[in-house]
Amino acid sequence: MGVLIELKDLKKYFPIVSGFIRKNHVDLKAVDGVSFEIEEGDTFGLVGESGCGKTTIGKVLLKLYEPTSGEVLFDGNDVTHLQGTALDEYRKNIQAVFQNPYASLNPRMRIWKLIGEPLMAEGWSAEQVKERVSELLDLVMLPTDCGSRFPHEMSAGQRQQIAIARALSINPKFIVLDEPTSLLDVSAQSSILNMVVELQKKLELTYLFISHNLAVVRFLSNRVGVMYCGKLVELADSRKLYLAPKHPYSQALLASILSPDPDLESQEIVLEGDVISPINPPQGCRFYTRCQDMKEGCKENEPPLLEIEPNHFVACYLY
Amino acid sequence: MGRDLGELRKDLSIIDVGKGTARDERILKLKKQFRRIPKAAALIILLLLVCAIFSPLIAPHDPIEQNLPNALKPPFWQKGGSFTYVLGTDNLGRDILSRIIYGARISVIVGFAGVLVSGMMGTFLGVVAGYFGGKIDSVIMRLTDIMLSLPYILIAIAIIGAIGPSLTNIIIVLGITQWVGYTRIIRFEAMTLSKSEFIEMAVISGTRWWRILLVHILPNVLNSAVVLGTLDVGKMIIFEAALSFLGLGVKPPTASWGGMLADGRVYLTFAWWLATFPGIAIAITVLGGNLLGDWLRDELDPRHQLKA
Amino acid sequence: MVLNSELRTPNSELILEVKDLQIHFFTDRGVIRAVEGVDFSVRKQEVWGLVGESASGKSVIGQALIGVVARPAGRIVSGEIFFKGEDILEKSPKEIEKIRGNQIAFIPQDPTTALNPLLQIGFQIGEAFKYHRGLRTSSIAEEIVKVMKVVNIPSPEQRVNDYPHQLSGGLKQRVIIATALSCQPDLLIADEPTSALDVTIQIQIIKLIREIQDRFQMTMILITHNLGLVAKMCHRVAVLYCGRIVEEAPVKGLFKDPKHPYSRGLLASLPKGEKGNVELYTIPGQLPNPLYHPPGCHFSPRCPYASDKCQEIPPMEWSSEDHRVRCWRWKEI
Repeated sequence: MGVLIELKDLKKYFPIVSGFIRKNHVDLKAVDGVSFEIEEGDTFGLVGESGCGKTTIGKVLLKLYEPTSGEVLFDGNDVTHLQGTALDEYRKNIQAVFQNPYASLNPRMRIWKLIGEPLMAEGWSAEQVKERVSELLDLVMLPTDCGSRFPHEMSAGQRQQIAIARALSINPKFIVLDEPTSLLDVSAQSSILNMVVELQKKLELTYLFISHNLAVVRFLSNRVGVMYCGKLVELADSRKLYLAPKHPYSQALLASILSPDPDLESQEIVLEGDVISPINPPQGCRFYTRCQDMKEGCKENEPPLLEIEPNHFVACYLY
Repeated sequence: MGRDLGELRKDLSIIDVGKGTARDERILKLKKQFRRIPKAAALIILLLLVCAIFSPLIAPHDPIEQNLPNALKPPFWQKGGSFTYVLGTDNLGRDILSRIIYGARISVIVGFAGVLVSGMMGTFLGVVAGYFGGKIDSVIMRLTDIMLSLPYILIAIAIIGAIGPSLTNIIIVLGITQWVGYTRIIRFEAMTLSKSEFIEMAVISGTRWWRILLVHILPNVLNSAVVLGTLDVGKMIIFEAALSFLGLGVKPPTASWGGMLADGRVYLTFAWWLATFPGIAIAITVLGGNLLGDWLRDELDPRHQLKA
Repeated sequence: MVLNSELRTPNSELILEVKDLQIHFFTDRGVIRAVEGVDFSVRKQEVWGLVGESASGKSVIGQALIGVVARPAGRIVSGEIFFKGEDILEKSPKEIEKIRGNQIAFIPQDPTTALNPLLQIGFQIGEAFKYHRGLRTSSIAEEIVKVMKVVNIPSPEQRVNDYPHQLSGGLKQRVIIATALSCQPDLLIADEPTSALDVTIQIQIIKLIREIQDRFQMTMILITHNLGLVAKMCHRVAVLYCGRIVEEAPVKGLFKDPKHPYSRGLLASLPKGEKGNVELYTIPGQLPNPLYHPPGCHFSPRCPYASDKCQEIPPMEWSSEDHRVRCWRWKEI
């Protein structure tokens, strides 16, 4: 069990050109120097609020975006920039399940074609695909005869099951799950989460689980990375993070979990101000405008991500 | 105690559609849709098709046979008219009604073929422009700008002047000039679709670009293309009429509504029926096509789901 | 103000009484019985929560309370809604317009679509003032700034002329809340007021709403699917399933001792704890097709305790002074 995915100082900038006559060129620094590793068989949870860059990292790994700079390693191999057959080979190892059960399935295609799409791209025949699709439907606990139906005949939870079946069809090693249950009802959510956990054990999968729902991330992940404004502010084993978060932002995030227990006296951390936009971020620590423990040096220089305990990294001058 | 939880789970993983299966629901839906078709418009188009297909059986007379002694006979309700020539005759003694019925052929062919050619070209270019963006998009957009700035009549004159007037050539001209209307709209839809999640999923699955275009993008823009096409049928017929009117259309003695308008123009003051009836035929057909197109657009609009 | 402080015991006088409300939607494909016989009452200064999943009918109830049920498909088939003693369903549209925004205010889910992108926010906040109080533009300006201060919008005098796109999600929601508060309503209905917001902003807004409720002694109805939110904000909560209330209790009572199998299932299926070998409880099956609700108790096909009696609609029974359940077998389970 080694390291499957490694990100080294990954940066992804999106140029924004505004202005009509005098063009104003500014970069949206969606991901600004992020490094971490994902061990094989693990679930790595990536948390943060909107605009923090977590979805962008997922898309870079899926090769929907090309990195602006930095390196991406898969199983030891440099996969930062791939094209042609190398790219096709890479795609067989990494699949995804996205958030929106309505938008991620082509409404005009039958379910068996949707699930079998990665296989058809490989050149499998229709019969072979249909056979494999039956197996997959069984694996995700859907009735095997629903292959000939259309997505709109299925509920939201079932559509996510279909998305999972599709992701599994070519036996990938790694799956990016980007908010797979945020748009589902509670009853569908729990069944999808259980399924995801079970499949990981059965098929020896590695997951990148992206979410803003901290309770769900805690339930699923071994290791968690907290992102703010394009940077990783804390990186630790899940248990350590949830018991004693070090970075002020992680603390605020964890304090914002609404647990269904009216007696629970949660620590109140109410951050002032709004989430910073990654266009022209401040010079020093990106969090300093909202930080209650701000010190002198925070405004000038960005704090580096340092290992303060074994395997526990924080980017903050308090440590 | 109630049922075993495990059994329950197995039972209930099926889709609950209540009474009836999904197939029954689809049939019911089709039946309801059929009831909503605008009857008048459908009737008009049906009539048009019947005239076009069965002209030899319906038309009372030969449309091109000249019969000079019977020239300029008025319609049956006027003095001098008779039921032999229900809508009267033209300056060469040919029955107006028969010529209108045969003229429907030209209109149908031009209408549908013209829409097909321009629609296919326009949709193809729109999909390519929308999906690829960048330079390809710019090139196609510049092309559409150029086409829009040139009046189609000029192009028609140029082309037909070069290769001569005929039905096929009219369709070519219409195809070359009318594709622009499709491209702009289809391009926009293709652009929006290209950003949607299921396209991202297709890319992740390893699907190649040509398959994405064919299997994912095209079927989803087909709705709009069909609606645009239906609305365009009327336009094509009017254009054919205009071209024939200018002498660039089908060669005489073939009956075409536009040609009849042209011929009848000089006689308007005293033999009004030569031009009026073909004119009415054009108007009714275009109206029918537009009504049908409007209905189709509303029907296919996904927001129209919940109605009382 | 600590978020979990003891909520002040509300006055026991009723401000809202809903009796046997039935709202149906008539579509091409059949009749959707969105709300099927809902009874509840809300006391003055109380925060009353309505919890349900999709297609439970919770949003429709909110819409009915302010008179915006989508016509012509949606119709309030029967029932009465007594607001301050008067049945608002019997009132003319004009009378309802006087109440809406003035005495009953509404906070919708998505602040982005609830604001007109072409109008300045000061103008939009002021609309309620203009309509209900008939104040002149000059005096309104002061009132607008006042209410913006109440919702903690920084530098309100400058921001009055901003357009919605210049504001973040949290600020937009504050503008919506300001609009709702502008006429100091007696009843505030909030439909998922924080679902569209980031979690740290959610906490800000929750704190704000609680401060406002405390300060103005407003009655509030909170409609949501988020049980955690209910635990933080409400005095009492009702659980809605497929158009019927299946359980209603004070918040502590519901979370500690849920009596209906559905409520239990919901609470049990929330993710808790860390990665291990724990399997989350899953309510078997799925939500029924809204066109074809199961006969009798709607939850029976999915209920582990279902019996033949469940083919009949169970009545609402009081398990204790303030806790009621709609289940044949609540005593046994």
